[in-house]
Amino acid sequence: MARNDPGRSRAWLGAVLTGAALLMAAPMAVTAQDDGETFTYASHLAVVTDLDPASSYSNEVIAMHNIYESLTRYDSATASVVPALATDWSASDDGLTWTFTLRDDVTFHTGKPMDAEAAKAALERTRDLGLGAGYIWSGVESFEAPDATTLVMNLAAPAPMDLIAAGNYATYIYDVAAAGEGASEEDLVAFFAAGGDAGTGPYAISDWEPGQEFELTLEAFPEYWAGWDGDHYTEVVFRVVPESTTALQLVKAGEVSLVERLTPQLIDSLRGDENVQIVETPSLQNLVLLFNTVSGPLADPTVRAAVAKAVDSAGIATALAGAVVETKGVIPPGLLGYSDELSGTGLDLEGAKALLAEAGYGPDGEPLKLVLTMAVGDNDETLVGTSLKSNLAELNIDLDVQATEWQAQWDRAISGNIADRQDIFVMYWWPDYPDPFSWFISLFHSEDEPTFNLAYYADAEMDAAIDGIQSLTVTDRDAAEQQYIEMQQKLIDEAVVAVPYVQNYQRALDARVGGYVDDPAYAQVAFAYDLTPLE
Amino acid sequence: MTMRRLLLRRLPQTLLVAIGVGLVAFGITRLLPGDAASTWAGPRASREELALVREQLGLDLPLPEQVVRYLAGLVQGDWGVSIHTRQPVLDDVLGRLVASMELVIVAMLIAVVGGLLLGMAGARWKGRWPDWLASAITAILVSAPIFWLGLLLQLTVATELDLLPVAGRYDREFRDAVGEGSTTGLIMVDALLSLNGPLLISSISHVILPALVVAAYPTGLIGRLARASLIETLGEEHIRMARAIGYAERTILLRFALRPSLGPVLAALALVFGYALGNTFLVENLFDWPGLGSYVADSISTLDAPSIAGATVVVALAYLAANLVVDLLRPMVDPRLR
Amino acid sequence: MTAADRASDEGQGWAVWLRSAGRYIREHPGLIVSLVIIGSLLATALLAPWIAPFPNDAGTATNLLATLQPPGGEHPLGTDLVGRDVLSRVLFGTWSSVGTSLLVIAASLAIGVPIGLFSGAVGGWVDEILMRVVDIFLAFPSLLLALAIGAALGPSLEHAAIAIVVAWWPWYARLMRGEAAAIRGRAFIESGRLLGLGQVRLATRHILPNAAGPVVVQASLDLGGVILTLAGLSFLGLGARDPVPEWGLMVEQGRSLFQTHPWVAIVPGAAIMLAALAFTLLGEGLRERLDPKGATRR
Repeated sequence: MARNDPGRSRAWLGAVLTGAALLMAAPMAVTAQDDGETFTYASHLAVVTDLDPASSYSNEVIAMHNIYESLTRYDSATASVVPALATDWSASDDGLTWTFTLRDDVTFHTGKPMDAEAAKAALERTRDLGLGAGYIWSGVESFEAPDATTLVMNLAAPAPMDLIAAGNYATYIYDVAAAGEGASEEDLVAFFAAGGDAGTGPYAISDWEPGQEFELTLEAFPEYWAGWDGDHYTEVVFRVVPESTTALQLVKAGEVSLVERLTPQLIDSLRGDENVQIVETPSLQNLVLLFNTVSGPLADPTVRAAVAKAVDSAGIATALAGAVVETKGVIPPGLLGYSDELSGTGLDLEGAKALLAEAGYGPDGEPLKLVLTMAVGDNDETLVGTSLKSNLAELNIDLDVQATEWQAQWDRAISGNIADRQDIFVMYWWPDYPDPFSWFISLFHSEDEPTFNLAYYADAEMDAAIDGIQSLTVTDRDAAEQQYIEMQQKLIDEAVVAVPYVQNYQRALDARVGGYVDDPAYAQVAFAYDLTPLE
Repeated sequence: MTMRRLLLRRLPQTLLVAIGVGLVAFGITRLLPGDAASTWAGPRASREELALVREQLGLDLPLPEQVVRYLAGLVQGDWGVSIHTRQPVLDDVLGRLVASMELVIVAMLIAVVGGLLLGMAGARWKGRWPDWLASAITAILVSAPIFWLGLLLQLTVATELDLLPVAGRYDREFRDAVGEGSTTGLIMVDALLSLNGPLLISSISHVILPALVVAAYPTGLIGRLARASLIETLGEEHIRMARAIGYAERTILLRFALRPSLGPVLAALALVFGYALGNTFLVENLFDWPGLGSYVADSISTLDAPSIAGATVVVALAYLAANLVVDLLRPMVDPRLR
Repeated sequence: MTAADRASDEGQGWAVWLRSAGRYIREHPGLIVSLVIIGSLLATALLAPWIAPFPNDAGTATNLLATLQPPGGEHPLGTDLVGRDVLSRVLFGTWSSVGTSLLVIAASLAIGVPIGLFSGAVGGWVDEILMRVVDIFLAFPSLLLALAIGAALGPSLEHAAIAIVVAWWPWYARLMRGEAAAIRGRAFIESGRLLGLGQVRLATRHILPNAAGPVVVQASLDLGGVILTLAGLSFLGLGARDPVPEWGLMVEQGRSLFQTHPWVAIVPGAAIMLAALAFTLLGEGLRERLDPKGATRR
């Protein structure tokens, strides 16, 4: 073993000092300097689960709308459909044939020009795969591309295609030949899975590092059809910041441009901070509590009705002051069919006791045990769960509140073993396009194998109403509205679902971001191209 | 005992334990709730697809064969594929381990230096106020829940005083520098090697806060051990002799007492390393540190069995290695053990 | 002897007692501090139903009209996200946090001590095998092992406790085995064996009492560690679940409120620290008395 050698340790010290000196001398220019402005979006969840524009149906939507464009776009401020890749559109009188006129100056990020053939191919693939929100095209019997700028959709039944084409998911127009001419479907899937993009949008993927903090980086696409004149962000970064306190610090320090969500308490603490702007917008996103209508104690409609009466919507809204708006039905304010005249919701513990007594349960009857599943780490959902548990305890019902990751929650809900399934499933829902249809087709239409109908509700009358409502929306809006209201009342009466509130989007933005408007039709999406970097 | 003989004796033991670690990890993957195949295949998988996945994952084999396959996989570098990142587990955990190690190494440096200083203060002024103060500090350090300590430091040092960054591993402007091929994976070392001063500063300022938190328990432990050990040594014959000769108390402490007292501290170093590594699991998420701890936290919430098992194995192996190194180092520091 | 003499004698006795008590406190401050804290913990745990201002808040009660009230007035330590009284929950939390930790240590001892005793007393290949098994368990940092097992079992206070026991018993097995093996070689045991005393009798009657000191010391030192580990598991979502008033869980619940409503997390965190501190000091105090050489041994 070497003896402690003073000479050697002095040499070591010398090396350190030299190194330090070199470091000091190292030019600051080593730092990467960005030419343009970067818009940084702080997401509390991992950003990407699926980059395939046909099947993408998750959090990556916040990036997808900056990479891809749809035929049309919805403008919540004016409640109208506005042009995007399509400049003009019209429907035949019977609502069965829709003709879209496309822009002729658009290029895909792959270099290929965007024309009607390309749009047709993309929408066909999305429809035929039928993944994610692909179902929205299922009513289209055929797409036609009579010339380069004309896309025709032939429907089996009338449907608001301009609105559908403006949807949040599965509406993207992309280059199906992105993986090369004649490449197989498998190649294309692999191309997207490896972080490839084939959109027409203002930004293209430049870097994707799954699992990393700076997960996804987009760069300006130089040939974007709307051009780059004026002030625009040239880079968009999606940064995963799970801790809301961290996100708060980052936005205060100007290190992120937008924090997608913060707790109402943190939002309040930011008011008056001159480095931060707060944008609050009522959303189309509501919290749904789906009661298991098929198995477990809640299969009994009386018990279900009693449990629904323990949901303290008013108390929850008070406790979450500012973050939510109390509601009754499944359709949020601002959409067709919203009504505040629905009856039979709200806290009524005495009524619940009476119902339970009828069924042999309640404080003087048999104890009950129920399982509620919800997302982990969501303060608002935690509050709902705790409050419901507290109220049910007074009814001699022990509610087991289980907070898990979405995948685990969902796996349990769709478990082949019906006995494994939860009694109450809690989640947020928002429409795929700004129309109430999404709630009904996804949550309350009968399914052979459950996907999102996690109340497992199967009712022929409801199915028939849902199947007809879309054509009714196109042909007779007032009748459609009336029918939507009746459907909501039916769901309340049968205690299939409770909807305590609609969320208020509360975003914290760097004060130097200009022109931010929240469009609830595109939940969580920031259209970076529309924003201006201020200084 | 010579180093070689010690090594020869300890290596087979370590190997045996390593196999046991693999077995325990396998046990964990099987204990985890949920069907690995259905998690893997996704919710829309048909029965045929499920059966296929089951076969691919080897879940249809008899248990002993599965065990052997798993162990063989571990040795060959096939640690399975993570369910939540869909990347090979080995790549995932090694990448994350490096980030955690960066944190742990800095924390260990803080702990050893801080702990020894506290211990020496206690021993030097035994029974007087510096001893009281040092003892109070170390007692608090070994008792404070570190996730709570992390929150407190974040609120005070980062938020209120704005002295250090709240979270992350480096500032974003260095993303390209970091992304472009790293030699060691340790950002600080990379920055030093590439003489990138600003990156070094950014990386150091980011590591200090989480490292302090991770170092809390180890510092307290080392401080208490060092104090006890030093006091024991200071009572020994040769020290009394030195004192009688008239050496100053400081000289006695540093020149005569410190080195013989390091034995117990060194012996505990592997354990302390284990604590530090374990502590990263509680604070990495807090500081958005992209290490094993936050990886495991994500894996737990997604019930990602291969990832949890992989992370468990890699940490256990790191811990085993640390134990081995410490055992080999001890005779060098403490001549009585030779 | 006159009454006056007796009185002065007694007075002196008191003075002597006071003086020696004073000296004892000066020499063993840690032990005294720890006993005071543990005494108060015990008292709060036992008296919680009477001294907690809102005992129901430790259970399923909520008050959505009084959420996140700052400390003061009706709620001396404020309320949490669903309007529960933080003080009441922290007081009741003594049961779930300290109580569970005590059970964990007891269970770990109940498993580890017999195994270690047996292994050390028997020796030979049985000893070898048992100790290798122990080595495997000790090859994991205990928090990590508890975490992995906790993940496998699913989140609940009971499961977290079981997970920690699995990670903890090997320490006592190894410690006990070491003591037993050392004592086995001593003269009085040898002579006992020559006298024909059975192995079991030797182990339980002679080895166990002699080895008890270090084990007791280690157990009380570990209590602090177990309290911290349990809180850590709860903090990671693997331990107690709402509405159980477990301190680690309460810190977790206050985590995202820390900037704006720090009391929700600070108070339970301080309780964890206080409890862990008390048991660490108790362990060290006991060690001075029972196992003075143990301070530098691990």
